[in-house]
Amino acid sequence: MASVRQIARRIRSVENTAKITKAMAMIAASKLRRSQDAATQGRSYAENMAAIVSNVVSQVNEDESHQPLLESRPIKNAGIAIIAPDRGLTGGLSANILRSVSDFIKSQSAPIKVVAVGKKSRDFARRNDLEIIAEYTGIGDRPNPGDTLPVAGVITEAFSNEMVDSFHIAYGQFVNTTLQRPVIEPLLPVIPSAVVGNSIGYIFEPNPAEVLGMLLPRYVETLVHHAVLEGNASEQSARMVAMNQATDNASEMVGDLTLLMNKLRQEKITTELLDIVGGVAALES
Amino acid sequence: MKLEIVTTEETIFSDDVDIVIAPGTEGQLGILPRHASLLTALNSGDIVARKDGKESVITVNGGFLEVAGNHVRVLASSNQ
Repeated sequence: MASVRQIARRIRSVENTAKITKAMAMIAASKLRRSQDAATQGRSYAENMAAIVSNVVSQVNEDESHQPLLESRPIKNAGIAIIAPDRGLTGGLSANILRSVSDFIKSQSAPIKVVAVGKKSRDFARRNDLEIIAEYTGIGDRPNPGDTLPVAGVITEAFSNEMVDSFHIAYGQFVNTTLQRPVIEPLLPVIPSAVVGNSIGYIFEPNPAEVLGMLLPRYVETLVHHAVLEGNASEQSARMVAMNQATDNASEMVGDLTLLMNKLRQEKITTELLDIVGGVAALES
Repeated sequence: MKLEIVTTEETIFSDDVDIVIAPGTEGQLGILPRHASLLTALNSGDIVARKDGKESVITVNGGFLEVAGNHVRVLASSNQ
């Protein structure tokens, strides 16, 4: 049985852990607000871009313009960009993303090549002996478009020079603070969504093919950037929730330990009292 | 006519204007209300929006300009 002193020491140690997890939860909460703003603000740009792309594609004769990023080929090599956090202590987030990636890879018949964003994603690719085209770590909590540009660049390049014949992107989608959903979306070839409402008969300057040629790479960049922003918001919210839970667990543990300690102390006092009373009784008789 | 300029990070301009002058890749273009639908790439430069004689100047680093309905939308590349 642990002594009162040992339990007191454990209580102190758990309290210290609780202080750390509480601080981490608060940091994550403040970062979350910024990441969440960035993710939701970026959505309007991404949606506008998607609407324009689908409108333009519906008007451009594909054979004529020959856009490399629209070309669908038989899939000999499949590519996937995995966006996962750099750091741990995010509850089940990384594990969830990587598990769905695992399942996805198993469902593919073609060999997989990976663009890894984030340390967790890189480690996953290495552990599973996947071929890594490129890896990016340390993008940080406030990515600006310049940080994600090289990622999109590598992806479009790998696709254009036929190193891979399709590209998916996996990331944690931020639904709300308590829910982040791992999603895997097709990225390349670009599959334009159906035109909403009437398609608009644009005048193009300089001409449709050229505008589309400039538009598509930007579109991919936008999608990648947006995925990173979403992933970032998910990471912060997952960490906030996990750390809050850890803090709660710690204070519960402190409560239990304190109770145990008090019981022990009381028991000790009772035995001592009994000893004294017994001693006195023995003397008197 | 409504002008809206958005970047990947934020909406930097959103207001009713009388004329928009933008640096298209084929040269400067001025857009008045009820312009036909148009889609063009932009060069780096200044977008000038005029309303009641007052001018706002927004510098963009390339991007795309879309005119649809009575709505001008600029998807600006970020300023970095």
